[in-house]
Amino acid sequence: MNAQILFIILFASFAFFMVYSGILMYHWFKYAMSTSASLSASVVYMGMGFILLFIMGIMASSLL
Amino acid sequence: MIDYKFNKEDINLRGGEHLVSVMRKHWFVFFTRVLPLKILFVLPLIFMVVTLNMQLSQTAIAVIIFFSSLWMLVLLMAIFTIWTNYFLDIWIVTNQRIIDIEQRHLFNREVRTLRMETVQDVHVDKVNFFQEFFNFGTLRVQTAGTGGTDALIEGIPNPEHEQELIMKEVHIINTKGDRIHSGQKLTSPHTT
Repeated sequence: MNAQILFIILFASFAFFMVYSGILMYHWFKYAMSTSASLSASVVYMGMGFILLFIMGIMASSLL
Repeated sequence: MIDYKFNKEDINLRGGEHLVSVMRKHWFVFFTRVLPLKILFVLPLIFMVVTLNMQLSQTAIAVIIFFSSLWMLVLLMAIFTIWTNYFLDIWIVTNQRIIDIEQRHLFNREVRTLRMETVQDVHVDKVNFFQEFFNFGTLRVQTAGTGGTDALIEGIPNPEHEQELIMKEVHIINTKGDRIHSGQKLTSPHTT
């Protein structure tokens, strides 16, 4: 598979992930009763998300 | 004393009002909702282990890992969306009101308030083995003037205790009302 296609998918995924993260975090910090729970959720969610995006980036780069 | 940070759009404690209880659904409710997604989340890992043992080209392996990661990313977002709906679904009981905050899904949030003096009865329903075992169930609050419509919250931990708390506050409110009607001097049970 062409590396260029993987990079397009990667950037689209990254953009969607960031927008969706913004929506989720808006809810967590606006409505949650505990700031620490919102912070913990954000760290876990963003951490896992970025790890997966990083792996996707490495795999796409390996095809260059 | 329960000390929580409240969103001012949801609740403003009035003068003489204090928190009695804050309820969130039992973790088992969240667990059952998210279990299928967690199984789907783990599937690519099994798939990767199986395919990596095969004699595949470097390109094929990279593509498999790429799309497995993408699959897991989508599921991660789905799991946290379910968690958000679980996390923001809350019942707040004060000495004057019951506030039912229901997060149906993103951008669909409903906040209902029941005044304590309208509460007539509180039922507890435990309908299956897991609810008995983990001690959670449905609280059904019957109110006056709602045309028979009950307010209910599902998956509340220790529902009998919460039922007792609500009925105690209802009793206090009704006793105050009776005293006012009979012309007796009113003294708050929380300040004496």
